[in-house]
Amino acid sequence: MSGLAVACRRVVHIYRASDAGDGGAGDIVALAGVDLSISPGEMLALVGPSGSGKSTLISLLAGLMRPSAGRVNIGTYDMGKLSDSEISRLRGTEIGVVLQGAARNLLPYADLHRNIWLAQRRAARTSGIQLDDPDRILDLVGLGGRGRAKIGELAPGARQRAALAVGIAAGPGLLLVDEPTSQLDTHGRDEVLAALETVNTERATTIVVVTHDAEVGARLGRAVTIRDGRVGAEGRDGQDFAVVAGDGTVQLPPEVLGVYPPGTLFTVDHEDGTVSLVAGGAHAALAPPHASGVVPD
Amino acid sequence: MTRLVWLMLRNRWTQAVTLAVLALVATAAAVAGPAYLGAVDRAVVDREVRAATPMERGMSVSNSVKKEQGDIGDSAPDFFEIGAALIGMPDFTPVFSVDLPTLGVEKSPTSASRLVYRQDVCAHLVMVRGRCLIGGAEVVIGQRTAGRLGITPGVSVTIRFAELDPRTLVYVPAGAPFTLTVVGVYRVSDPGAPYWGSHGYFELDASGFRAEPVFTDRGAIGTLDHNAEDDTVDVLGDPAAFAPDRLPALRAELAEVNGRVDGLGGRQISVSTGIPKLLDRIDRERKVAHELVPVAGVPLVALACFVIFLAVGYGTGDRRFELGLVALRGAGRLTRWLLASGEYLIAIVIGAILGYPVGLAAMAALASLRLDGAGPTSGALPYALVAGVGAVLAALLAQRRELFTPVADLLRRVVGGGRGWRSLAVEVVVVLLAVVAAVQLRVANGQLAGVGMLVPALVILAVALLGARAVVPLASRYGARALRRGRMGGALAALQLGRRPGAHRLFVLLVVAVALLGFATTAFGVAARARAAQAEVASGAVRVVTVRPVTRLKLLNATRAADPAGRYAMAVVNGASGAPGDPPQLAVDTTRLATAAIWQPGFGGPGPRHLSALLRPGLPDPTAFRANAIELDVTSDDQARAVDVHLVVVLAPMSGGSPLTEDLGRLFPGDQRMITQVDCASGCRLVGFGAVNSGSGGFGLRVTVRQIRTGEPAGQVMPAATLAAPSSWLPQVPASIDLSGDTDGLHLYYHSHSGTPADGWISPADRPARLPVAATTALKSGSSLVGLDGRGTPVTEVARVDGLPRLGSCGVLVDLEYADRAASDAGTGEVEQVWLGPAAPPDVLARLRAQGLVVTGDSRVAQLRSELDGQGPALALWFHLLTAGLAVLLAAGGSWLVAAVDRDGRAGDLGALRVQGVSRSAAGRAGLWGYLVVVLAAALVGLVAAAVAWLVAGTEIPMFVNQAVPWPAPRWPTPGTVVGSCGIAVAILAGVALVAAYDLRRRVRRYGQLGTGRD
Repeated sequence: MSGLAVACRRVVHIYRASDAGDGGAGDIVALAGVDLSISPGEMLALVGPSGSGKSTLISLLAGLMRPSAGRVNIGTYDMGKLSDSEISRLRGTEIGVVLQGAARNLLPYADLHRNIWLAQRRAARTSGIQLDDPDRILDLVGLGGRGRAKIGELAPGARQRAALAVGIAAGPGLLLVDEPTSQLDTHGRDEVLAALETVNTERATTIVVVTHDAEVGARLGRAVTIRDGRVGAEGRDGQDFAVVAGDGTVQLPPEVLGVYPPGTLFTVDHEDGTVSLVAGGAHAALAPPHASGVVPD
Repeated sequence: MTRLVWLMLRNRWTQAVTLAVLALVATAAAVAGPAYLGAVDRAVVDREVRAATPMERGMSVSNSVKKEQGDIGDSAPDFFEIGAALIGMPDFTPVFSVDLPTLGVEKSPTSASRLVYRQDVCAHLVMVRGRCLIGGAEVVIGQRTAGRLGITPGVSVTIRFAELDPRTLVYVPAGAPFTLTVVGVYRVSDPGAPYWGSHGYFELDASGFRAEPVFTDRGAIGTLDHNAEDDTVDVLGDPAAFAPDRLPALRAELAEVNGRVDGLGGRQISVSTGIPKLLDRIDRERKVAHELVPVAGVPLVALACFVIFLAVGYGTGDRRFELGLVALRGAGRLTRWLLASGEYLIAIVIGAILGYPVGLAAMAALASLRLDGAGPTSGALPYALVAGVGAVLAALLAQRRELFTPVADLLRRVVGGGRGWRSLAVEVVVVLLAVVAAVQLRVANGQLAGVGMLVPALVILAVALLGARAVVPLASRYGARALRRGRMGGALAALQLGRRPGAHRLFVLLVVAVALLGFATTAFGVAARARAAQAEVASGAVRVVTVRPVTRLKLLNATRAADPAGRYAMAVVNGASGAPGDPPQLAVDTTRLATAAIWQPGFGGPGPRHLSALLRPGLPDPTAFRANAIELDVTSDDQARAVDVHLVVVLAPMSGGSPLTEDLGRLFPGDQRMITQVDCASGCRLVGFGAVNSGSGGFGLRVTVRQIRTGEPAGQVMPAATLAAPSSWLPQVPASIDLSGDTDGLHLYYHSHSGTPADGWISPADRPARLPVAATTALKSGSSLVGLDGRGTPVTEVARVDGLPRLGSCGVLVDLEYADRAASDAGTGEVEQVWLGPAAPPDVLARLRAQGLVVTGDSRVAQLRSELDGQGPALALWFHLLTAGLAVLLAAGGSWLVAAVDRDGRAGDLGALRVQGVSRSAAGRAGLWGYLVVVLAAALVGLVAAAVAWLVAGTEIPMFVNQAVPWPAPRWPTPGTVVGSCGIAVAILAGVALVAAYDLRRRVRRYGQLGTGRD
């Protein structure tokens, strides 16, 4: 299966206090209007601090939750319009999910073959899907010949790749991976990233990885920073960009925000492809007198 | 899929095994109820059939044949054929017999012998000399008769058929002589064997010797010239005839036989049987057992299902993430369900299948221990299936939440612990159901039927739920407070109960288990005490010897002679049945009340010694004499001419012989000397004398008794002054006689209105004018009771007691000696006994026999207690105890499973807290008390629940089939019984908690080491 495109338009997600189940104090806005487009076969990293909304976004992409507002499209599917069973089928065939923590993706008492078999079960019953042999999948993630191994027998890096194997077992067009390298050493991390790249290369699978690790983001080519529930910035090919959201907003980088706190007034000048923010107005006294920000076109 | 389920099963094999054991217990419990009931049925039937009289185990079809009816002789075979056809019941063996009176064997020309033909008699006789019957004109004679008459085998005896002369009540010859040869001398090894039926062939005579019929062949009787005979077909039931499942059919067959006999019309055929009485007794016992066993069995099955529900719920909760993972891979509902339930269902099905034979085997073992080997019956399979299905449903119900939870929620570690409205609704329904059931139990007048059958369990469950509602928040509050005050260990332990999802269910389980045990123990203990008290009260004494009735005086004298010191033996006469509404009476020699009778503490009143003093106020000696004749000098007025009034004197031989009632002749006007010869050389007591109108109606008459003398040797029966004193005499009906006295003697003015003998009766004042009685209630008839002579006797209540031996909480006690003096007949009692106290020597029966008493029965309080212990209610309560024990084991297994499921999570929590600085001791206390506090709180609430259930339903637990005497059962058991049993339960549950806590501590320590290493 070729990669699936992903499109998020002004996606909002709010955790209700009752949903949280912890008697929390009020609702929590996890995503506050995310706009994001991912091309088929693209590899993308979602980066950002804890609580920024990365995992929420990946849960929405996986269909584990429904957005409170906005649209999420995976390929031709509008996730908001699918029934639970359709989403379940989608997860069994076209969307692979690898949860944070390798062991959480695997049945510990079953070997790798059995885990892959379980992940392929739904797709195997769907006509028109050609499934790879489990050994072939394991080869793909660098675990060839380990099909009979139990989870407990694998090293952390191998375990994470086993989780990847399960995630791609059904041959999905979109692979969502949450923090695949968070508890790995450099060697393990490289193995996992290599596996991801192999999958992407050989299957043209669209891969979205949630990570704290900026280096991982850099390796994947495109890194979208989620900040306060929005797309705060995007890095491509080693260069960082601010992103204009669907409602026209642009998030300032944290270092700029440190100088110009919320409430600071700017005038916006646009000339010859250059946008200038000039501090001033009633609160200008609170800000440095000659600050300006420039956003390339 | 199968492979995956197998892997899951293998991975969590301890949970699977525990679950299988729980299912096993559920099925075994379901099987155990009906299986135990079947065993109880058989035990009840076996015991009742064993204890039944021959009449109750069989049936007699009798035909009294007269010659004038033209069906003697040749008709007998017809009758036998008819009888056999009439009966024709399977598992009943017919025995034909012919019985007629004959003269000629005994030397006395008027002493009749029973000539009996009884089918297959030789198999039941032991030939002492000679041989048994072969055929022809042969007879066999009893050993004692042969010895007494000097008859040996080979001797010929000539007999004649005899008839009873209705005028003289003496047998007279009524047939031609017929000579028979005595071919053998027999003795009978078991005169009470069912074979002999209820014909009384070997009854004891007045001398205490057994009668011995003359047995002969059927042909001989046919040859004998006779004009009347009693033909009988006895059918004796084999044990198989009384198989529990045959009893309804047996009733129908009896009805059919009665119908056939009725259909014969004209013939003198009668059917007599005690089988219906036996069946009624069996039915009553079975009914009680069938009421009681489900009271324990149903809750146990429900509890087992609840434990399965709890265990599966905990287990599934622990697998939430795993189930979420399966759902995450897009598995359909069927796959999710199979993977979620598969391992549980396999374990449950295996356990349920094993539970059937295990339940039967356990009941077989219990039956062999408690039911004299009566094994359980099969036929419990449907119950096993129901329990198995119940266990499966419980498991599925426990998983419903996880099966319908969205994937995202399953993947979250924190589980919503809120007890929603559904739990509240279920609890409200249970409480309401308990209230309704309790009310129904009361309204239905204590019938353990319908929902009422489940009242104890429902009440216990309701209290457990309410207790959980109260205790869980309390624990939560305490935990929060302890946390604020820095008492980390206590806080974490309390919060484990207060906030752990499902902790309240574990709490409810433990409460129910402890309460079921408390209730069962209470029921068992109270019933045991009640049976002991009932046996003691109903028996009256440690040992009760029934004797062939003799005069009351003889009984009294003989008993006193056998035990001169009054240390153990007491003469007892069961009083005549009084007027309607009067309580039953008992006349005992109260001088021995304290040493011979069992005096219950609950009897109250003044106590046996003081009671004896009250019932026997000081009195003069009886008016007695030794002579061969008694003479009365009397003077009657002219009214004697108009009426036919006789003077009758009643004397009681001091030896205890039959009373002497002598008619002194008719009273005529003027002076008369009335003499009668009496056999009073050994001494007689003057019971009294009376004017008896031979005609009808009342009469008026004045009679002066001038002297009462004896003849041979001559003397005074009483001095003249004593005779003339009205205070020396007591008229039976004071209103009918006026007494006065002067130097002429005693003047009697009779003005009888009814003309009954009592009107003209006076007796010496050797007793109180009013017989002292001790009563349990106020006498309805006021100041009079029916005396031992069956006549009204003035009485006075001298003591009020709460209970009396033999009579229980309703009765009247009198002194036998005084009651005998108050009676006008000096006769025999209906049932006469000698009660023996614990000090009775081993040869006491020989001592009684030496005094002329013929012992016909001998029972002990231990026997009665044993009988009560063997009855349906007692046997059913054993099942209660067993199921309660199983309930505790179930609870222990359930809590172990919960702890096993919980421990990884808890170890992780406590380990994490250790890493964050919580001290080892605090973590240890949290681990230990997290389980223990649940057990201890549940034990406390469980005892309360048991007490509440007992208060509500305890009095409705049947403890006897038929209470022989009214005597209230104790309300509560001895404290030690309940505390002991519940202590064991708590020890078991606490043991599980301690082991779980130890295991948890070990895991926490390991976790802490891992954490340290990582850091």
